[in-house]
Amino acid sequence: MTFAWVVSSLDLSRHEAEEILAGGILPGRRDLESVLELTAFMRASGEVEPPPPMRADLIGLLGDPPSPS
Amino acid sequence: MQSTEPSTEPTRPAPAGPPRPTPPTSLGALVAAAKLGCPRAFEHIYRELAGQVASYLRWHRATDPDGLTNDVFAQVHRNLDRFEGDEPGFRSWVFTIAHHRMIDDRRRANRQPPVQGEMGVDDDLGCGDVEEDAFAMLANDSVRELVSVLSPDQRDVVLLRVVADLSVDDVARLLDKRAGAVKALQHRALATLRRHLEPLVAAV
Repeated sequence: MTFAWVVSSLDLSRHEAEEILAGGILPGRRDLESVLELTAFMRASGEVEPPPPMRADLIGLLGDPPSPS
Repeated sequence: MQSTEPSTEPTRPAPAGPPRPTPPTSLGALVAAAKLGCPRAFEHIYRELAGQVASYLRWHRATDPDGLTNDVFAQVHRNLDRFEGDEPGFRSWVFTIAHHRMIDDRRRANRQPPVQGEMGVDDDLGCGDVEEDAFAMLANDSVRELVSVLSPDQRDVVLLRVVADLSVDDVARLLDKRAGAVKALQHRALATLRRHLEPLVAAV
């Protein structure tokens, strides 16, 4: 545990960390905006990524070709 | 698993005979239909979750996220009849498989430790509007490198909470940890990320 970590974690409560990870907002905490933006970017990356094409072996498992999207 | 319905185009009129079931739309109902052998229900599940799984694997720097995602869903399909649970439970189960596949992939690819120190974000920071520049920074793929400053445990927790959208309890079960330990890890992870982001934002 480094001194720098102690200092930065003192300004971030566990409740705030949970809020950030749950996609909440923290009004009045401009100092946490960069972390909020990073987690929002991470969340969005999961939401917008298209499903990769199904490969032949997976299609074969289904026993029926996938219907076009 | 045997197909229970003919393969037809979605826009084609339904054939005469017994009514052909339409795949349900909620994930829970899709899982139930897929367990009964409906391939189209499984395809819908794939479309619903495969992007998120691929993203999760990509954030973990898997060697072939798309291929691994296919492997994950092949395992999901093979083991589907063993799954018992609700919709959140299914999501958690899928990401448990994805997580274990990622670990296997990491072991295989091994022996390359995660990249440390090469964040490469500074080069892409502009000098204009703070919010625009911050957004540009986040839009850059190199921002993915930021998570490499986290310990493996912290990275697992953050990616499972944010990218996979799992609850603390789900993550605790998946990682075989107590909920309190997961909360401590996520707290430290965000403090670490904040510490690394501060100088980048201050430099804008």
